[in-house]
Amino acid sequence: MDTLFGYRGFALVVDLASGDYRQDPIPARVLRATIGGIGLGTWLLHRYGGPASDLDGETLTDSARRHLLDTALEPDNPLIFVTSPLVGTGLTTSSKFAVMTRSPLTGFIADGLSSSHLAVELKRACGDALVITGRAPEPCLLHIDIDSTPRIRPAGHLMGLSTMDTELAVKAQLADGNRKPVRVACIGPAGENLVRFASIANDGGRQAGRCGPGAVMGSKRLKAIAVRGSAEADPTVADPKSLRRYARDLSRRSLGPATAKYRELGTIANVSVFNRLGTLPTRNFQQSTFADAEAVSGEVLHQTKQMQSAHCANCTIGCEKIVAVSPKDGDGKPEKPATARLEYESLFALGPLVGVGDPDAIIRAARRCDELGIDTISAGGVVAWAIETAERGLLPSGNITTSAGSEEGLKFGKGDAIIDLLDDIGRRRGYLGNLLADGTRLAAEKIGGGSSDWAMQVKGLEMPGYEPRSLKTLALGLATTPRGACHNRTSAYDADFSPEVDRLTVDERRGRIAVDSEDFAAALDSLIWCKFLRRAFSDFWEESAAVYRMVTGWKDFDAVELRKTVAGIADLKKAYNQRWGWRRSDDTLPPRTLTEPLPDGVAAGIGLTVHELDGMIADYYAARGWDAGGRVDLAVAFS
Amino acid sequence: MTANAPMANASVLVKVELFGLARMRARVNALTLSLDGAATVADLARELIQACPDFVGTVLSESGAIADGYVLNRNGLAFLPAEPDALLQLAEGDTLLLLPNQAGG
Repeated sequence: MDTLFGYRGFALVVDLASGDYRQDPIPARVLRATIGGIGLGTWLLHRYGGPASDLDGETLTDSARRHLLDTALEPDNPLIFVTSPLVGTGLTTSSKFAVMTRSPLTGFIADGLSSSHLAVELKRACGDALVITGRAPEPCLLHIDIDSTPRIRPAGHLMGLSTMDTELAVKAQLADGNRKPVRVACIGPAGENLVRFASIANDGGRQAGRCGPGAVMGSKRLKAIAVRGSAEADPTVADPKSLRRYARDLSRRSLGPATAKYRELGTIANVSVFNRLGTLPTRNFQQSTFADAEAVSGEVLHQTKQMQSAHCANCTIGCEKIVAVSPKDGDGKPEKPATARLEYESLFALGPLVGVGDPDAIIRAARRCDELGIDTISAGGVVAWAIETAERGLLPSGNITTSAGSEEGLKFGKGDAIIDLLDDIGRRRGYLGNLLADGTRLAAEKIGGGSSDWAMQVKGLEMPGYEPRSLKTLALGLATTPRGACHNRTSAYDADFSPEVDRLTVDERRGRIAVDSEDFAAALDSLIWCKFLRRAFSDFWEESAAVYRMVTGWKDFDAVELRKTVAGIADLKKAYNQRWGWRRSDDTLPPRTLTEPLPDGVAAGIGLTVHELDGMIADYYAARGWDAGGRVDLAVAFS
Repeated sequence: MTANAPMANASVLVKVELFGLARMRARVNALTLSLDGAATVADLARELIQACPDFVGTVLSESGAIADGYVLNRNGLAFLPAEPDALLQLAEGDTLLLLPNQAGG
């Protein structure tokens, strides 16, 4: 057997129901054809989580499709953690992993990414992937230590704890003399309560946030995973000398102007820019500018708040901005100072989207989401929908169970009530909390009254902080990405924020541009590089192919093969959704986006019609080589 | 080119709005510059460096080009080419935005 460089060559498969485990080999040809991360994860999802028989979305009833959301919480839906060939190499930003499952929010592929030390330990202790199947009879902690033997431990004592407290408790429980601490992935109360947009937290608050992987983990009664591997298990790379030289050069470039924004301000710098360009979704996408944008802008927060930068393991950029949380008036002095990670998406979703212009309230809400273990984008999205629905008289406004909520009611801009509502959602407490814990799409279907028109979601996933009517290439990307409204699996906004296109109009080039941006993201997400590094490459495809050769020793792997490989990954992802009942009408945008022109900002009066969107979608399918109905040939996808 | 484009060599007053690190380096939200109607990106960069030398290294390169990670926009609508010899096509009353590139979050 040929030596395998860069990979372990197997996945550790653990069945929580029986406690059985095994190592399943992953053939070298599969590793080369899927690379790692999201790509390999999609292949594993087909292998361990495909339907018993392929479903035809066009003939499935709506109720049958809705049932598929619930079956994502059944024991046979696998939860898969996937590393990459770059993990363990020490390359900057490469300590990342993918979390794959079928989403209880969308019914389709859920392909999250997170990062830091856990990635390194997963690869050492579990191989190229950890596949978790089944449901434990009792709440449990999955502990995999240096001997790579999974131990399923009771976790009743951890139930109800926040993600932060869970991680601390597990580390303390498994402390072992002078040995390094375990690394932990865990859920908070939201995952335990099967909130459909619950996240999985690791390494002090990083999140695999979108699409509800935390709910799948909760459905398995798996509160936490603790991993500690041995450095002796690190796979060797084929050309360490060249890789070390390249790593030094890339680290140097990663500290240049292309990443200065992330290093100094972080992504929160987007607020003032988006507001000026009329792309800042505000009050449930009813506006594209926010009157209090300045107060919550990255520039002002940087000057007025205690802010520290934090790095993932092996990262030179340090984009994370850690902000001190100010206690509410009357709370008294906290036992210990609390902090929150503040990214643009959290800031937008818990600020402008819900009309909150008080930075302290936003920061407290971000902290609360992380404690509960819920995705901040979906949390803000579902709350914004609820507020507008209450304003229209379709929801009772005083239905929050805690004091501030019942006093303030459900209104835009009422930060304390919104934080209380987040608590209700994360614990499925009360009528409103339970309704909103299922996400915007299901909540709107239950309430009716036309409220789906302002349910700002695609395929069930709440929209990120980019206004598609004034970013029309991204509009196409949001409509077509397999996991729903996601700004990370497509970077189509790159074209909109450039002279390449007119962001306020459409043309026949957008299909090709969206495909290229999605493929670029798939390459980053499979190798796995951090997206914030992307402008530090002089030629991304050539450099990435060269790095892959240095790591794997596959000397004939070139940029052409890399491009072909990531296009194949897009086919595999689409095939997964197709097998789980995707239909053409899933590739669309919320009705509000397609019927209401923007009322304010520099793009006032600009809308997006169904005709414009459908034209771009047809061009996208053609550029992908799919049929006119958007279906991939499964034989091609699996070739 | 905008409707009121002046003759080449005629000066126009242009407001340059600053975002991200540009705002933090300059410690103001905007600058007003007098530029030739036929000014290029390099001409603008030169004026910006004169107004705020701290731009060099993050917002502008030492050679006077727009740095990687920054983009120019006119009036909140059209994004402009970043090449040093690209014409800005300015008219009286135009506003230029000096913006960090967008990504993720």
